[in-house]
Amino acid sequence: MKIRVCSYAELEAEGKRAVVADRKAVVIVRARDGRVYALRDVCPHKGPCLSAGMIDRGCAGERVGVYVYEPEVEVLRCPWHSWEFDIRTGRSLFAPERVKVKTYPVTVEDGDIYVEVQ
Amino acid sequence: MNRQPKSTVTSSDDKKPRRSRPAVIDMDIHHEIRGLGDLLPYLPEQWKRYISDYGWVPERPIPFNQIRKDTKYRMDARPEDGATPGSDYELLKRQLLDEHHVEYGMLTGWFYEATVCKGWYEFAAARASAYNDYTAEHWLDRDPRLLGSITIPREPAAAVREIDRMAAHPQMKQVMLPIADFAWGDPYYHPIFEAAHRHGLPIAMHLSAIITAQGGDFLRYYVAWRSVHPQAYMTQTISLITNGVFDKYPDLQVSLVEGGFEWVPFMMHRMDSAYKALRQETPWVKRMPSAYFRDNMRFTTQPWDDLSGEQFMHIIGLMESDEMLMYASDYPHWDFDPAARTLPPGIPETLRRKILYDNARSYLRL
Repeated sequence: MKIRVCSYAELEAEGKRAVVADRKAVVIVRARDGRVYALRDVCPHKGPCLSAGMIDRGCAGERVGVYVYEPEVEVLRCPWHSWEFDIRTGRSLFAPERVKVKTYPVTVEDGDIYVEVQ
Repeated sequence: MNRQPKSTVTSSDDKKPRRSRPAVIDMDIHHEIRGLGDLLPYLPEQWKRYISDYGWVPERPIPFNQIRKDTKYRMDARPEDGATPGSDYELLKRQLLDEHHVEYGMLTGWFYEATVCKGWYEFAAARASAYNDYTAEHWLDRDPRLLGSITIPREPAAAVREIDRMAAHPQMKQVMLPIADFAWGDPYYHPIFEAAHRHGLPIAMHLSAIITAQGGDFLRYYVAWRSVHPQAYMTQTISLITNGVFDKYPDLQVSLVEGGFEWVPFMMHRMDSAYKALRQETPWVKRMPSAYFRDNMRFTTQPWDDLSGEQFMHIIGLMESDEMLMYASDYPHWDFDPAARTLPPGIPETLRRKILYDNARSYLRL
């Protein structure tokens, strides 16, 4: 079931937004390219709301002292221990197969954002 | 002022039914000043002017910041008025004491520069005194759950004077010795241990920002600098034992705060092994080193290294004691550990209670 959680304009202003859909805490995130993603708003490590964290760029590197920003990767960084979760997949950058946050399907229709939490 | 701490939890909302959560003593809470201006009311005129008129600021010896909002703090811990995280009592009360059912919280501050700075010791002593007075008036007097750590200058005679001055405060429950690039066990510093012992106060040691020689070099990344902190703590524990601090003051308690604990059984066994062969070099050390670890030293849980219950129980087994660890949150710093989600599932409830409460209560003589 699709549930309207906020307008796209509200999200655009803030970049991320904490919402509740069918009693589930969800964080809606807007990527730099305008796409919208939804993740469970709980860090699987110690439990704070990821929505209290920050959106950051993915950063890679092959040589000491060389930092390469990956334009296709954006992360939601936990407000406490800085764990990074890919906003597209919910997977952590340090152990993507083992440590991840649940993601939900999102649609944008007529300026409103809908999430499917079932 | 100087109210007695209560012996039971004081909830922010007593109308709510109390949840059956274990009582918690948090041994590492970093309350902060909003700025040096907070200390001005407590400084003598001679030293006040350096801050108010001449722009004095503490040395900042490490270069690191983290790429995250509010760098070393939890991102959700900055007060609405933009003040320094940890400087707002009401927010700390709500986010930590009430939310996490903290029965007692040990304020460890973040003003270690007055202790570990080099030179100008009269000014350092004045700053330490001012910080203690600020802590008593703005924090301890506001909440009986809060306990304080006496900040001291490094120079022993001045440190003893400050301990003697502050020890009468009923909520000042330990003396803080920040860890820097010197070892506190040296006999030069023994008057400080004597003063703490005379007042029945334990000693806490916590890393300062002035650790630049962990293991002999200053590593170039924050992740590296942070990872080698235990080496600095190892140095302190070895210094205390080999300089006979615990033989001089057999019932003195020392807590090592935020330096990890997985290394402790390693060092207990390594020192015991060395002592068997090399005892004659330090004959004033009368017991096996591991005995001092067990009887005189305590270690805090934060930063918790994500151990499983099984891994953790192995460490407890190697320590041969369930009384050496005490819970700490490190609020409001970024690597905060909440009480309910620190210790892993699958460990005995008696051990959980000891770490969350009983061991600290015994250490603090509450």
